[in-house]
Amino acid sequence: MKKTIAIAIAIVIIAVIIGATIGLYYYYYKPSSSVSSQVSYYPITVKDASGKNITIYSQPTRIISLAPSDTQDLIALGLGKYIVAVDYYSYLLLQMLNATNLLPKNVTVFSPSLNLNITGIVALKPDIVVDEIGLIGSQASLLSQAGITTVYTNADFASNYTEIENWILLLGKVFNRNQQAQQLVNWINEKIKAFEAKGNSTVGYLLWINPDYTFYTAGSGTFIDAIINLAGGINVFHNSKGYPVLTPSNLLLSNPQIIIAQELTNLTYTYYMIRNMPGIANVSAYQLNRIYVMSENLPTFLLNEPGPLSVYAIEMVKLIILNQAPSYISTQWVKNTLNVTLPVFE
Amino acid sequence: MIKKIFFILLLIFSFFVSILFGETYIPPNVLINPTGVYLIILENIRLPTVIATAMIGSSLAICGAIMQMLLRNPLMDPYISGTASGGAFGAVLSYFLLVFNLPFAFLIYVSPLIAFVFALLSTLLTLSIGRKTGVYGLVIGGVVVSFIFSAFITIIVTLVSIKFPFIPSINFWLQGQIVIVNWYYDIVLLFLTIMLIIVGMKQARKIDLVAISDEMAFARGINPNRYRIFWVIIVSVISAYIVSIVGIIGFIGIIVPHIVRRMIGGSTTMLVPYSALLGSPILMLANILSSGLLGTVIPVTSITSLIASPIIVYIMVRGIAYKGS
Repeated sequence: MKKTIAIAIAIVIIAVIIGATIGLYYYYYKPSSSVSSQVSYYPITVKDASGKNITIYSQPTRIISLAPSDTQDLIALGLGKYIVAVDYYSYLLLQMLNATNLLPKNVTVFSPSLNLNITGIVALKPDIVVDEIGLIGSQASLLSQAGITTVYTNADFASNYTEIENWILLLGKVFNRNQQAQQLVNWINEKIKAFEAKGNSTVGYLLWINPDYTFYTAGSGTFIDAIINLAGGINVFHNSKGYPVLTPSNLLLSNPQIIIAQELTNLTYTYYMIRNMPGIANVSAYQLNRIYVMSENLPTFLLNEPGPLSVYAIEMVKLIILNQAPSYISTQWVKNTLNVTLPVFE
Repeated sequence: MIKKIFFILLLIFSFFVSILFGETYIPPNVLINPTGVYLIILENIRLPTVIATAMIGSSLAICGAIMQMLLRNPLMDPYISGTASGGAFGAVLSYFLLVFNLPFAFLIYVSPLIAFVFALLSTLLTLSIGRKTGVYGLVIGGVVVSFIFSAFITIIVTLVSIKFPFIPSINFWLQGQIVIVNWYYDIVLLFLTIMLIIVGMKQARKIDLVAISDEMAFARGINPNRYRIFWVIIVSVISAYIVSIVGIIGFIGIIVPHIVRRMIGGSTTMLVPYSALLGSPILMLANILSSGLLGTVIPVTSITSLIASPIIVYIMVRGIAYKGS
């Protein structure tokens, strides 16, 4: 009898332990990781970069991302497995990082085109399309006419990290990944804190040198300007706004100590254009041999695609300013030195 | 006499103002005794560029005036021969080879030369189309050749834009931009401009004769069609060289001769020297606006287009284009 009671008590204790374990598991983990149990979260209405209110009625499980900054955000929010198609440049970025495995194997990659592949998008039957409003422009109406739910961000035109983080939080809200979005924002802020520096080295950034030696640069209100500041530099073209076209005269007058130029299709041509720029021999950066050319691949992507990975651009520019970088900033150097990794918060 | 003095004063004024107001302002007190960075800018950038602008303005104005006389149409411009489109295509093509790492990508280093070759090719194509069809066939031929090369440019620009979606650098060739011209180009331009003025002045009476009627030209032993082709080649060589260094600059050849005709007179002996004198300040002033009007460099053809459009409308409304000059 005593034996029977002992067995019964043991069964009850085991049952309680198992029940408590299952209960705790559901309490702590299931609400944020299961898609099927989140029905109650939707419908949800958000205001996106287009200024319109977008209502999402259920958890999107077929996502199309059409901008590299958005693709970074979505993957970092643990949504990579739901992405059914991406733009060419998003995929290119992941290839550079050897991280295409973050997307499904059968993901569709749209060919590079100036026009939206609207039929290709419709054929994939997406629940939602995420795109950058600054890139899609007037073609946005095509998506709405096709009846496709689209959420627009505007990270590509962000002027600081706070704006990027706001778009991440918006995507977190749209996809019921609020917790992951906050984790990602925290990760970004930690990285900024680790990478940022103070200094007063003057930096001239040459976004693109035209055949007549005029050049595009990044002025105030641009993301590149913010990165230069965070890296401990002073952007000599800060007084210009946006992305102005300037001339060698402007470069001579501003006389930067460091010049960072983006590669113009190939390195030989880039050096040729810089060295033949009228008056360049009188610029401090030239005299100090502090002209750096950034590969058109990963280094340029880090600076030009304001997503989570762009935090590494702070460290990259900081190393340039500290004279700890080679004159040619290659993809391999960036990968080896900075250990560029896209975090994924499941 | 007063008009002549006005033209000369305008030239001096616009030259001085162009030295001061480029994409970077040079204070007048610095101009008296330039030192440091301003001296470098003046020597290496501003002075050669302003001189080039003056010569380009003169050359384009004379080219326009002579073509209008020979083809008896005041709306003619050197670019009607398809030269500009050909030159722009050459420049864009060398960029295309570079962007896509294709064979002959090294041609980017001699891009102006490639532009020049294609500009000449397009002109010869126009001439071969118009050879058997006379004056108007030449005009139509020019338009057709322009369309062909414009189509090629559109295809290339689209492909390049896909590879580099944020880079609008090719606009420079298509809309014209005089921001930096080296001394080396100035020497060639000086030679071409002086040659154009001398030949234009010496041939003024012949040009007038062909402008009046083909019969009179024949009576004086001039084959008018051959004579026109001779000038089309000269004009094309000069236009091609200009396109190769600063891109397509339109309408100077229409604006200037029209003003000269209204203020001085319509004969070639007047048109050539006064177009040379007025072409320089008009382009220099237009270039000041294009260099800093909106706080950034904007293509100069967009400025000259705005100046030229009322003149073109006026000529069309008054029916001058149909009466001949």
